[in-house]
Amino acid sequence: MSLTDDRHAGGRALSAHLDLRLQPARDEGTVTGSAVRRPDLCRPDGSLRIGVLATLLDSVGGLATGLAVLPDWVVTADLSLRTWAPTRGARAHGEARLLRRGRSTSVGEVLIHDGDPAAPCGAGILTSGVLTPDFPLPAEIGEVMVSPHRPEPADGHPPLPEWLGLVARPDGAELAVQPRLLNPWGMVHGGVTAMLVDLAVEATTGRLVDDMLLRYLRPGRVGPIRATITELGPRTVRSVVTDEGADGRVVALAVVGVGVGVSD
Amino acid sequence: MYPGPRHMLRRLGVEIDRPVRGPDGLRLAGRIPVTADVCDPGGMVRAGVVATLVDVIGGGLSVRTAAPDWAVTADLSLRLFPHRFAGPAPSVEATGSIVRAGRRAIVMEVDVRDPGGGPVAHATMSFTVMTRNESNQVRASELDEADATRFAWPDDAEPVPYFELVGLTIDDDGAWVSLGEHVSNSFGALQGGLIGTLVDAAAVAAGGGRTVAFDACYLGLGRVGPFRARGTVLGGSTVRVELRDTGSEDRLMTVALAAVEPIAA
Repeated sequence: MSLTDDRHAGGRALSAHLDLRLQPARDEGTVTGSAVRRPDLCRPDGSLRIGVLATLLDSVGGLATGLAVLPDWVVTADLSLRTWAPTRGARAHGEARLLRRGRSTSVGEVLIHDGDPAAPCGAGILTSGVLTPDFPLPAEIGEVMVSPHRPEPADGHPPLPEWLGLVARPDGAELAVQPRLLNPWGMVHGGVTAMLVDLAVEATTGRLVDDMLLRYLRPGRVGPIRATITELGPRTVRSVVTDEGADGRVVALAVVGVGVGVSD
Repeated sequence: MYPGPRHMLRRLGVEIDRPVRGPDGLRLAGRIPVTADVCDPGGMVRAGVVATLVDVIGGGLSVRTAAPDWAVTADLSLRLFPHRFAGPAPSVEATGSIVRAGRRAIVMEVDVRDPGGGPVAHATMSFTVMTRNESNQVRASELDEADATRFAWPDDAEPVPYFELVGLTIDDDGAWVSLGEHVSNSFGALQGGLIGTLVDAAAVAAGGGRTVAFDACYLGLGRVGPFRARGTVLGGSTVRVELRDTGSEDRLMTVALAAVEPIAA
């Protein structure tokens, strides 16, 4: 089966790359999950990239808000994530709980930790829009989801920018749309957009990203998907994400807080 | 009449310009004078006050964009930049513009600057569009034709300090405000800016210093009160704030993540 034959293939490819593991508890409206901490997914200081943590937040938060609206499903409308300590464990964990289930939106919050929920290192809020899917939901929805084991590549995992197909630009970065970067709705996965913004901000400002607010405005389907960075104020930048193959329409807007320099 | 003669928006002296429809879409600007009672000891305008101005501009833009339907605030994210107000007649001006107007949601940005054009804050907001019945619809053209507005404090009334007027109190249990005509919105619920004010106050009560950023998700209207916001330091400078309507079975109204920082001497 090719990637394009299965609407969930892109999400599975991304989950497999981050070794995402998700465990919902539907009765409680909670979802726990984790992502691996590997050098290729980390910032220069060894902590998992905020783009990867945002993908974890999007996955556990999206599942928590999605399970609440079955048989409908959700698409992320916006997410915010703040971090205050580096991730140092072998895996980063996310614990999502439902805050509100509405007719048109569903809201969840997520705590990020290194393995000890009493000592979190980040937190976020996610709002999902409720839609009727035009695809079958995966059979394993609501069950424990563990990415299929894939052997480590003989020469190691490529750096994240290479895996994403990222191309640096003077004012940001862009990537081409590939099947493995798409969610089941056929648009670039929200986590991919978060990683694009994270990497573009770091490359442009020379600073590490500590917090991110990301609003998804329209689907990015054609590509290249371009993140353009401008300074808003001290240690705060704005990133406009456009689909250059769709007349440059704005697909997302991010406000990002940056901290210490990459080489500090 | 909304807002009433001693409403918080009059105490703040909110001015709203006539909206402008340009090639980039609808824009709306407004401002408030900066007085000592709305600043922290370091001379920065309090996040909750900036949020109130942002909420007024956002509300004005959303109602014009959603017409003939209505829109309610879904979330507000605010980032404050270092600034210090001094000198004669300081003010802050907010300019809002639409980022996306969909059938179900409206997203906008609000840029807040000082009179010299220096950045004071940046906000993004989203609104959920609510369908109105035919007898209760708003005409966009009427709203566009509205003149500039200034909410003035009555000449014969004592200029009560702002946070005293809104009745903000802080105790060991959190930051509190009660519902009243002076802090309600046009349909009698707690004014959106006061939600930002409570988030700000609870974050500072828990984490100290000043609030420099928050992301607040609005889960329900505040219809009864008193309203209580409690902050919990999650780690570093990040505070999680819960706002509840204690008079309505302690219903959760808002959850926010805020960042605080010390105020330099």
